[in-house]
Amino acid sequence: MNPTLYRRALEHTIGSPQQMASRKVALERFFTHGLPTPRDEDWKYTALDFLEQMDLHAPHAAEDWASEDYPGIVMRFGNGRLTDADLRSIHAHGLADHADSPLVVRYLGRLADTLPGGAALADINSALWQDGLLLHVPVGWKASPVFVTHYASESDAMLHLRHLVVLEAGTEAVLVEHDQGTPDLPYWHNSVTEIVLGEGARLTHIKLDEDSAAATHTSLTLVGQSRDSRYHALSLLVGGRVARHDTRVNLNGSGAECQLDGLFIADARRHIDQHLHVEHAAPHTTSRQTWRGIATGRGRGIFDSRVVVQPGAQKADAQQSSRNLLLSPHAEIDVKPQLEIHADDVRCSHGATVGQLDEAQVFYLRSRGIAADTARALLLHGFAGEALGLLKNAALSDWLEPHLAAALPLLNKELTT
Amino acid sequence: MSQPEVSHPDARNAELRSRVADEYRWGFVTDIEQEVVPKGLSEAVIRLISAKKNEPDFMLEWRLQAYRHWLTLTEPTWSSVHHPAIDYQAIHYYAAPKSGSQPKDLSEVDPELLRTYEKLGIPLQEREALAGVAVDAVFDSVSVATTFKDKLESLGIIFCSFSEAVQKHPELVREYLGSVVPYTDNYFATLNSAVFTDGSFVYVPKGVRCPMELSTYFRINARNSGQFERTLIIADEGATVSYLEGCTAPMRDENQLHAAVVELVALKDARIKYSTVQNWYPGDAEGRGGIYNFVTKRGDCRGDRAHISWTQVETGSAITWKYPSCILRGDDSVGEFYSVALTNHRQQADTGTKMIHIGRNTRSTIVSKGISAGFGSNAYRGLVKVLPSAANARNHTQCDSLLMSDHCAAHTFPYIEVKNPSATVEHEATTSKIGDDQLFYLRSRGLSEEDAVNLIVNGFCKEVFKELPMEFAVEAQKLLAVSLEGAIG
Repeated sequence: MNPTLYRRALEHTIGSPQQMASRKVALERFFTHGLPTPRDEDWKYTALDFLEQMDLHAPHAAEDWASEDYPGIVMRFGNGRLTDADLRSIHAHGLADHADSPLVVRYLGRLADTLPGGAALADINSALWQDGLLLHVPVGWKASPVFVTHYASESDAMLHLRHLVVLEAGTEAVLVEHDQGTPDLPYWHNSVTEIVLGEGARLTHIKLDEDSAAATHTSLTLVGQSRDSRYHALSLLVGGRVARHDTRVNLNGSGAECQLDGLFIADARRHIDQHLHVEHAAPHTTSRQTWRGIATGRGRGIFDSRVVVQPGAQKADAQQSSRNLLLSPHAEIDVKPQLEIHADDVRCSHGATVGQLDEAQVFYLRSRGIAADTARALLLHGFAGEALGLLKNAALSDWLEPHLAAALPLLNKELTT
Repeated sequence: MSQPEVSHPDARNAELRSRVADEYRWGFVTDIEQEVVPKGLSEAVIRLISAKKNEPDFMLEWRLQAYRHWLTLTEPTWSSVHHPAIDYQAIHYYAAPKSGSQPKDLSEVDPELLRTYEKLGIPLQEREALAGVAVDAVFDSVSVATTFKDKLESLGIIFCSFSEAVQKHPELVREYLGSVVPYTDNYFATLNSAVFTDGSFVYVPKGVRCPMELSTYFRINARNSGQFERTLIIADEGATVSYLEGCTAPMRDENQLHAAVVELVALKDARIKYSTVQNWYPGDAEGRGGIYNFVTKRGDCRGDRAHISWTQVETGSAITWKYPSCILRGDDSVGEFYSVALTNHRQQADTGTKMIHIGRNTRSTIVSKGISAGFGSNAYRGLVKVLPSAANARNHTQCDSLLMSDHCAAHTFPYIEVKNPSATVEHEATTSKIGDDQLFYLRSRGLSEEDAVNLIVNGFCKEVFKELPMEFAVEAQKLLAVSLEGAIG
C-alpha cells in the first residue's frame, strides 16, 4: 500500500475542522485494513491490487458535459463533483454544500462507519469523498424522480462520491443513479450511498452502470429500514472493466420489506461482482431478490447474496432467485446464494441456476420462421427483461429499455456454441 | 435388531484375540502400562510412531514431510463452528491400549449412555463392548469375521487394517496413499498424515464385485484405530464395493479431537459407495465434552464412467466439520452426496461437499438435509465447480433445513463456479419449521406429538435414507428419534 497517495488526496478535500478530523480517522481506519484482497472471503473472486499500480490522484477539475434527457429532476456530477443542479429541485441538493447541516451531521456515516468487520472501501470514501447527492424528503412530501448522473473524464482519477438519502416517515421518492465515463478511459469510481428510510417510507432506487470499459467501479449501498418501509432496488450493471457492487439492507422494523432485483452483463473482458446482504433484524420482515446474469466473451459475472435472519426475527420471509446464462467457453459465472438463519418460524428459500439458452425454445421459434440469430436475441431479451420487468413505473421502464437493448450482447452462432 | 446381530460377539471376540496378538507382535505385552509416549508432537514422536509400527522408510519420510509442512500452517477459522482453542501439544499422539482408565463394568458407565443403548435395543453383551468396558474373553469362539475374510481373500479383495496393509501391500499403499488427499491438503489432513496410527484399507481387484457390505465392524482391531484414522479404498477397473463406516450405537471415546482422512480411488468403470453413520458423544445438554470431528473425505473418479457415492447420517459429535467430496476426472463419471445432519442441544455441524467437474459429461447430485433443534447450529457448505474441460457437466443440488427451536441456527453456503458454457448447474434450498398444520393433522389422528415429529422428520430425510444400505436405514430412523428426544416444545 502507498499511504502517501491517499494522504495527498486528503489534502484536496474540504470541510469544517470536525469533518477534517473525522476524515483523518476514517483514513487511519482504512490504513489498518488496506484494500481488500482475494484472501478475504468476501473478495474471493475480485482482486483490486492493480489499483495501486495506477497513477491514482484526486481529480483536478469538474468539467461540464452534456447529458441525455431524463424524465425528472437532474443532478449532474462530473469527475466526482456537482456541476449542475436542477433549478426545480426541492429535495435534492449537493452534499458538499450542506455538509454542515444538522441533518447531514446526524446521518452521514451512521451506516457506513459502523459496518461489522469494517469495510475498507467505505472508510476510504468517508475520508476522501468530494461531493454527492443529499436527498431529504420531509414528512408529508412525495418527491419527483431524481436522476443523479455522473460522468468521469479524467484518466487515473480517484472519484469518491458520497450520497445521502433520508426519507422521513410516510414519504416516497424515486432515485436513479446513472454512471458513465469517457469510453476506454481508466479511472476508479468508488461510491457510497447511505439510505435511511423512516416509518412507512418508500424508495425506488435504480442503478444504471455504464462506466467506461477500462474503469474500475466499486460501490456500496447501505439501507436502514424502519417499520413498514419499503425499498425496491433495480440495478442494470453493464459497465466498467472491474465492477464490484455491494448492497446491504438492514430490515430494522417489523413489516419492513425490500426487493432487490437486477441484471448484469459481463461481456468482452468485463468482471462484474455483485454482492447483496440482507439482514432481517425484526419480526415480520420480507425480502425478495430476483437477479439475472449473462456472461459472454471473456467476461466473468459473480452473484453473491447473503440473507441473515437474526435471533427473534420470527415470521421472516426471504426468497432469492439467481439465474445465469453462460454463453462462451472463456466466460465464467460464480454464484453464492447464502442463507444464515437464527430463528425457527421463517420461510426462506433460494434457487440458483447456471446454464444456456434452451435450444428447444430456439427450435420452436425457428420452426415458426424466425431466423436463429433473431430467435436467440429474442430469448436473451426475454431472459434479461425478467428482472427489469419487475419495475412498476412506465416512465422509468421506457427510459431504461434502450439502455438494456444497447447492452445486450449480439448473439451469433459462435457465441452460443 | 439394531445391529447385524450374528456377527457382533464374534467380531468382538476376534478383536480381543487379535489385540492380544498385536500386543505381542509389537512386543510390549508385558509392559503395557509403561507404553506411554509423552504428550506433544515433535519429529521424535513421529519417528517413534513409525518405528513402533515397523513401517518402511517411505512412510516415515512421508510422515515427516507432512509434519514439517504442518508446522508452516495455521489453524483455519473460516467455518461457522466455534470451539475453544485446541492445544496440540496436550495430545498423546501414540497411546498403546490402556486398561487402567476403562470402566470395569457397566455400573461405572455414564447412565445416560446406558439409557441410549436401551432405547436403541442393543443386546446386553454388546453394550459392554461399546461402552469400552474391559471385557474378558468369554464369548463363544466361532469367528464369523474370519469366515468373511476367507471369502474376500478368495476373490482377491484386500480388507485389512492400515498397519497390516503397510506391512503386506506396501506397493499399493505407496502408489495410492496421499494421491487423493495429499499431505499438504489442509491443516487437519496434514496433521493426520504426520501422526495417523491406523484405519482401514480396501483394495478390490479388476472386475470384482464385492459380495458383501464391508464394514469396520467386521474388521479385526477396528475399535481402537485412534483419533487420527486413515482409510484408503481402491476400486480397480470395473470393481464395485460398498463400505459402511461407524455404527448407530454411541461409542465411548476418550479422545476429544478426531481428525480422520478418507481417500477413495475409483478407476475406470469402478463404483464405490461409502456410507457413514456417525454417532459419537455429542457432549451433554450444556455442550460440555463431546467429540470434535474434523474429517477430510475425498473420492477421486480417476477413470471414465467411475462412480462415487457418499451417504452420511451425522447425529453425533459436539462439532462436525467435514465435506466428503468427489473429483470427477474421468469422462462420464458420477458423484453423489446424500446427507442428513442433525444438531441438538449445543451441537454444531458445518458439513457439505465439493463436486469438481473435470471430465466430459460428468454428473453430480447433492441432497443435503439439515435438522437443527435446541441450540444446535447446522451449516451446509458446498462447492460445485465446473472446469472449462467439463463439457455437458450436470449438477443438481438440493439442500433443505428443518428448524425445531427458536434458538437453533441453519445456514446454507453454496458456491457455484462454472467455466463451461455447456454445463447446467442448479441449486435450490429451503428453510422452514415443522408446519403447525402438519403437526395438528397427525395429532388429530391420535399420534403423540413426539411420534408426529418423528414421522415428519423421517419423511424429510427419506431421500437420503433410501440411499443407505437396508439395516443402516432402519437404524438411522431410530437414531434420529432418539437424538431428537426432548427437542420438541
